[in-house]
Amino acid sequence: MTAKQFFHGKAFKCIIVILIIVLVCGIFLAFCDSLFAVSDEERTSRAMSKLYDEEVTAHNITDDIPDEVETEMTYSTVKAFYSVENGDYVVQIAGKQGYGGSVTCWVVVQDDGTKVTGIGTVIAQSSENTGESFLSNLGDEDFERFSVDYEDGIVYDYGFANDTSTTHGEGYVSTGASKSYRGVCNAVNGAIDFVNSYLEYLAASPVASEEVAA
Amino acid sequence: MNTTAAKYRKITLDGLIFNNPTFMLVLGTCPTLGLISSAFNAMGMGLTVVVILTLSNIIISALRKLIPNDVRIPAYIVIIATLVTFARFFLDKYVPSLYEALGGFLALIVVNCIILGRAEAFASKHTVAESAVDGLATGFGFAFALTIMGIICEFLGKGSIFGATIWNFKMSMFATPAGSFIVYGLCIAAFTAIMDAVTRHSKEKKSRERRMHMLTDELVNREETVASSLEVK
Repeated sequence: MTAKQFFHGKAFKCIIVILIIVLVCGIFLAFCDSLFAVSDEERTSRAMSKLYDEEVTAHNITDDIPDEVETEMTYSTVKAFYSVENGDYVVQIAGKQGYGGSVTCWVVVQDDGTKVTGIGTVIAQSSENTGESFLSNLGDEDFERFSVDYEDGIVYDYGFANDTSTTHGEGYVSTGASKSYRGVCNAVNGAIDFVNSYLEYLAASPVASEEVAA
Repeated sequence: MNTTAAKYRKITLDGLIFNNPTFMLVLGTCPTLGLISSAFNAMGMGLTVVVILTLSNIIISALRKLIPNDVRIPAYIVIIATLVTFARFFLDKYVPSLYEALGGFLALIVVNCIILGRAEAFASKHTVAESAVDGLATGFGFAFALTIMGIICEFLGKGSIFGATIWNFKMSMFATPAGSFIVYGLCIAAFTAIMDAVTRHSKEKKSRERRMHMLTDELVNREETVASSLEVK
């Protein structure tokens, strides 16, 4: 086949048509991406409105996390950290060992200034959890029980898939058989660990706690 | 005009009832089983599929003479994937609650058999207007089926309908895909039984009408024969 025959042939026409379709679709999607972009502030305000049914003021203090406080833990990674005007802390945290990798959650952690005293609301951020198809099976009651479990002192170690019968220590919440739920549990337990470490650092460092108060 | 109206009526009824993609063709089973535990999720998925199916049918029908036969499937998939991505952007921006409810099943619409199947079987061979009507009818047939099953599963599994609690009795199995599968099978059986009964009734009615016509024609012929024989006498 000569070059001329190729350019006049069916194969070339097929390639050109596919390329044009892909190009047009790509340009359209690039336009849509900028048109329908959701900013980080909008995502944060959506999460806050889900966590609290009213307007609250939350300060992003992610950059103020001291180096001594670990954000990268064994079973979770802290992505963002907020201080709420009512004294709560809100942690955006990815719990590992989920079905599709990790599960990103927003966790409201309550404290008395020195240690964690309870879990408020927990929600899973679906926009970052596209691989966690089983998350849609978890209803509101599944997330609400974290605060109940914590108050009742029913705690399990985390990071173990089917270990739902052993009580290891205080301060953590239960896992379940579902991998996505394990990821959520790891996120919640990671948030508890992180806030406890942060509060311990503040208690040990009066200068830092004054800066935070300011 | 009557022929055109009859044609569109047939396309509509086929998509909604006679070729219902969920109950008759049993297509799109994956999102069906994954989302009918909640009526809101089921209806949301159904309406999203209506939009994507209609738009994909329109675009593919408009381009049907330009796309070579050898690359029609990849071309259709690129178009459908683009529309699904557009739907994801739109829902994430303006309806985040539905976007979160649909989760991973929203992206799975790309490989939903209904959309590619209608593109291949109908849109690639009919005009834009006919394809649009087919997309709307098939999409609403899918949405209707999913919503009905979603209502049943949510009522049995959670005791609520569209989030409104009706009673406290719950059979949690129906909130799982296993229960959804059972409800799906029972709905197919019920739908098929209803269609069989309607078809049988329609056939009997036509048969009765045909017999009446034959009897009437025979009576008229006999009268004419008697009349002509009397004239001869």
